[in-house]
Amino acid sequence: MLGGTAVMLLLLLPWAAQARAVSGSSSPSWAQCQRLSRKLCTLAWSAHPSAGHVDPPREEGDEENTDGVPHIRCGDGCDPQGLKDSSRFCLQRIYQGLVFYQKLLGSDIFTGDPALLPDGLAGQLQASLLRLSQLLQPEGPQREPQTPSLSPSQPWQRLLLRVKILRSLQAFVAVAARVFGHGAANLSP
Amino acid sequence: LQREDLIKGFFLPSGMNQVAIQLEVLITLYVLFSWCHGGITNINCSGSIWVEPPTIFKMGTNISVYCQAAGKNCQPRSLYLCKNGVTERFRMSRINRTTARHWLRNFREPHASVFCTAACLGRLQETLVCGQDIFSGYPPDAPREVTCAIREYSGRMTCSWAAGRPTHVDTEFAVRVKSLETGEERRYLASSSANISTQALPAGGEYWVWVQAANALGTEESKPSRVRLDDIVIPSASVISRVETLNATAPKTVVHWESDTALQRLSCEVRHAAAANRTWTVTEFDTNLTYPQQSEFFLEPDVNYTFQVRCREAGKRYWQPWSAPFHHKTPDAGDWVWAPWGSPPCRASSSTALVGLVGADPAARPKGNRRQDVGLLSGMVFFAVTLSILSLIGIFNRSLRSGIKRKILLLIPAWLHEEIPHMENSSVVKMLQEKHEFVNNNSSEQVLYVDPTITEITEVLPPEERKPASYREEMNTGAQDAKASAFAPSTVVYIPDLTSGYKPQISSFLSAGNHVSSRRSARVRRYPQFTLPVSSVNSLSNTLILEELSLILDQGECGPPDTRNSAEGESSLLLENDSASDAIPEQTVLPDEFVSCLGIVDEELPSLNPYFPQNILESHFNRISLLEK
Repeated sequence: MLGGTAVMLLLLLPWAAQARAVSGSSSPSWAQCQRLSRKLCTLAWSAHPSAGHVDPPREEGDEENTDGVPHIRCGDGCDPQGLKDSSRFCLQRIYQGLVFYQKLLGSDIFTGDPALLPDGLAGQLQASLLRLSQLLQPEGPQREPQTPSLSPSQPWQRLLLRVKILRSLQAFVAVAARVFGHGAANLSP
Repeated sequence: LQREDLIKGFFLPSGMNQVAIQLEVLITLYVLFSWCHGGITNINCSGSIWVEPPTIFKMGTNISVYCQAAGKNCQPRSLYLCKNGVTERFRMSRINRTTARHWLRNFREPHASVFCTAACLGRLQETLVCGQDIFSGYPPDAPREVTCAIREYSGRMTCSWAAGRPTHVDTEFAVRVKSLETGEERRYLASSSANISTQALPAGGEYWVWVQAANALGTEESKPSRVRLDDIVIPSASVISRVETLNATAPKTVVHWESDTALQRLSCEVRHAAAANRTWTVTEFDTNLTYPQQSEFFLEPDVNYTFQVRCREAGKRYWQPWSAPFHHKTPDAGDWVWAPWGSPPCRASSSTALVGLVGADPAARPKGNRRQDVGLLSGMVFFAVTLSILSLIGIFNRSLRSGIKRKILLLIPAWLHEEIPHMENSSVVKMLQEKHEFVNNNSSEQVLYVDPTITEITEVLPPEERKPASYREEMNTGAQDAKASAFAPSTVVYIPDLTSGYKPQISSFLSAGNHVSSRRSARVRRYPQFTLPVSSVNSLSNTLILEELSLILDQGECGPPDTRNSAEGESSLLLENDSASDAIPEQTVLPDEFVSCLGIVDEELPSLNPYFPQNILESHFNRISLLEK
């Protein structure tokens, strides 16, 4: 157990190294971020009803494939002590995730046929992601955030991909909302 | 639930060991996101899926979907087929250990997405095998009505056709052109129409043209059409530049239109329709469009019309599309001028500049009788003019008039032109003459028969001493004066009152010194014994004058208050009321306690004095009743 954790910590080192200042030295508006992240949670859960009630089939080789999906990890400093010490690393990680999902929601996975039901929620989700990411926009020159590797998808694939992406987004914004909730309660000036 | 518990435990009390917390968070996040590590934008298949017949088939076909699991760590207990997401889910029939089939009868959906999953031994969650999109449709119909045309100056030949019923599947079209002169054949891909450069056509001026349609379910082609390039040129677009209605014997609407075509001989059509019924009236004619064209129409007045034009080369096949609609409203029949000398109604030149309206409204008459009306009017005018000319001759030609008179006198009997009665023989006249002498002696009444002096109306500023206040003082005794004047011998004197600011050319019944207001005049009128030393006719007229004056001045209650207040009776009441608002110091009717209390209420908030001081009022009323007793 400890060995596996150590390996993972080593894997997380590059992420920690990339962490830079978010919003300069000033803290974000925790309350505003909290409000937006809660809205994101609601939208993510209502964007694809089947994503909330039906488990998608697992895919062969899931465990081995670890491509560049931004995850909130232990080394990102999103725990209470980490946030107390410095919230910059955690907010940087959340910002990267928001940009990543924003691009996914604009891809043909969500814009192509068949239309996403209920219609228009993908657009609302994208707009909310954009607003929250603007609040966390780092100042100064930054490394380009991770972008999803997209290839044209077929209609049958989109149905499954949407479920996958929305499930991932639901988990991401749930953690982000907890971070902002903690920040609004304990870190606001 | 496990994930939620882990998330809930994300922020625990800080008393716990920080390292332990971080490790737990790490594990939580790892579990949380582990399921999507397999590529969030890709689908990994663990087997294969296929459809028989192949994925594009004719609509209504019975199809079989096969699924074969090939996962390394999966021994499939059963296989499931999902259609269009998870909305339709079927358990597939096993063929062997790894393969299953599902039969879909009479499949009529243009498109469906299917994927199959395997329930593996030892795994709770199903594993995706793979998916596929399936399409059904129809083979293409043979294209019909193939037409090719060249718009003048475009340099391109446009071919279009009727494709037939929708195929629901991707269908490609190709235009094939074969030169009749060289035999060369070329093929041009298209979707619903083809736009081929004339430079890209095979050499020659005459071709066979046909269209091929092909999709996954079949291929069809149209019958070939023989096309000669010179015959398929459509003239450059025609445009209606303006429409106007001109004056003429009958209202005439002229449509001006033009085209920049280089073709000499054209056959054109202009069509118009009233906006109300949209029934087109088409006018055909041959023309040369070197010069701007105009077409004339005799249309109903006051109607909105739409005009369009189109042309084709004379004797050729293809028309231009109709030009953009041009809307024009013909003038109202009432706008036409009935000119003298019996000319028909006419109008200046355009629909905007109307000459005017003279005489009867022609629009009020039935439209079918307009010409008859014009004739009748002309006759009437002619008759009137002839009569006028004859009258003028009779008036100015004295000798003619004398002659006519003499001839008439000779013709009629003498008693008809004798002057009767003979006044000099009348005894009544003689008696009146005697009476007249007596009347002339009475100089005091003579003035009654003198015409009033007519003077110009001038405005004279009132002198300082005749301010309204002093005027009111005079009015206080006005009633008695009026009575006195009424019984005193008075005369109606038609002399303007020099003392008033504005001088009507009538005088008061009363003497000039009595400035009686309108109300007073009205009162004078009410006296029953009021007698007038004049004839009854004069009395009546004066009364009417007074009534009018009274009416006018009654409205003057909104005039200067001091004048109004000078009246008596109800006017006095008004004076009292009005004076209450003047600057006269008044005594308050409220006790000091009440006023002071109100002052307190005004000064302080209701919270401090939350109730109305009813007790003060009550004590005041009690005090009054005690004093009365």
